[in-house]
Amino acid sequence: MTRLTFAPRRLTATVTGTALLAVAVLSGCGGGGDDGGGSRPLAHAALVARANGACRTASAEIARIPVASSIDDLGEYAQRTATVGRRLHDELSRLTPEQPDRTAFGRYLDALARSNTLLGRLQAAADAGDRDAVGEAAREIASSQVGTYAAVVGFDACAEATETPES
Amino acid sequence: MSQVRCVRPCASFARVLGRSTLAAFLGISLASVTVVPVASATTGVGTGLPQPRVDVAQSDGAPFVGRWAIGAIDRHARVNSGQLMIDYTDTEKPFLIGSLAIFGYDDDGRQQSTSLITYPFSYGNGTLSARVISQGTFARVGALRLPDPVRPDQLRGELTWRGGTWQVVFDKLPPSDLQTPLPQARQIDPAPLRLKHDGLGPRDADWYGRWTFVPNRDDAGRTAGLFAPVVRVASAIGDNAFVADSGGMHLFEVESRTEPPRPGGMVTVHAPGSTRAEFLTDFRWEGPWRTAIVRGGSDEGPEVGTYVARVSGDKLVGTLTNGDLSIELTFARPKQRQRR
Repeated sequence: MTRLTFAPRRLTATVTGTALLAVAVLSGCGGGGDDGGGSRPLAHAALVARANGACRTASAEIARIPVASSIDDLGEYAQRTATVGRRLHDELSRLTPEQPDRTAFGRYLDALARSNTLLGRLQAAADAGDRDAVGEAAREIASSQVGTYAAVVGFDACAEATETPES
Repeated sequence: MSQVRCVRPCASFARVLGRSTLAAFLGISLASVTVVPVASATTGVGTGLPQPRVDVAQSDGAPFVGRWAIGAIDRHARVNSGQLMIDYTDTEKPFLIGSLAIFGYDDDGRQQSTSLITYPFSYGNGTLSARVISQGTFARVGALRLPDPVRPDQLRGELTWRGGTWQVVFDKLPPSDLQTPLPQARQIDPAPLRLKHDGLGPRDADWYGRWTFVPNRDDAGRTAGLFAPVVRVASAIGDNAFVADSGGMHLFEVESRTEPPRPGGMVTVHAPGSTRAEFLTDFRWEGPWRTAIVRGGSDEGPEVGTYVARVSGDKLVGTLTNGDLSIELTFARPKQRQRR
């Protein structure tokens, strides 16, 4: 049987913890319900947490797309990957980083946007059955270095080369 | 358009070859020796290349005629890419001649391009052979040996050059396209034809256990982050290649009631869209080299290819070949089970 007793020290700790949690929610999550974006810039740690969360979701979505095994289904694979990529870009574009992160963050977003555009080109090449153009588009996506730029800004989950799922 | 001149070997060569052939050779020269602009020959000089004493019959030489890119070469040759063109001359008595442009690097890592001539050719025992001579001095600098091709679009042979004899594979190129950049030659690890000893090493047991796949640093998706899968898949499809991105190897002892125990292995590799499982038997070793026969279906299945690897530190770096498929694989011991 549990005895309920009045414990001022425990109460103090609870109140302090609640207050800290509230501060964390207000600051770490963007504060004021503006979804992390808007006018209030995100601190580096919060920015990284938000971006990594979005990238983990995107990575899981990409991993669920059936992998193309021939040029015939590569176009759809590229198109569905691009859909995830654009959604990720839209989500990250709503974030406002603090000044020190702005340049690196902007470069990552640019690389992400470029990769999404190139995925469209890859889709077109695959749909046309043009293997040379497929290879070229793949090389261009790789050279966009979207993973490298993600690593620079500290988005580990966005930088990590997603493991190719088995078909 | 640049005004160009032709140095003596170029002019000599031009005289020997027909117009179309010449154009192609000049294309190669332009691509390979950019320090000397080359174009139409106006300085009539002797050929410098006399009629060879040994003729290669058209029927023997025909499979080798064409433009070829170096598709793969021994990594120790320090060659990045290259092009070989073989054709008969348009002279009164046509003879076989070739031009070899090699792009590589020297001992200090400096980029180097070299223009060579393969001449004279001879043919015997199902092999086409030629001296490799300098285009500048006509001095002999090496040799080329090309057995009869098994496939019409590929030549496999040996190039002796710069102090070594290197296994080389040439892939056929379109006859007239001189604009397309040459593909990067795959760097391969050649092995002696038959290694001295049976087994995996002095003590087979030292090699038994699991080996983990080490991703190739050339992984096309390495810098693509989330888009790595689509880049890998598209690269594999675009280049018609099997690009392994994960897998493993298990080496073990195969027991038998009638024969002494012998090593066996199983390799599993995953690539975008497919998984391969290959069985390894008949291991042999010599120095750092290991070879095995690749069998399909089981360790008693049909022989479908070869596995050739080299021990490099704690890794096995090699190539598994199954028919036309060639997969570069590096395996390492899992860290908690490092070999002594």
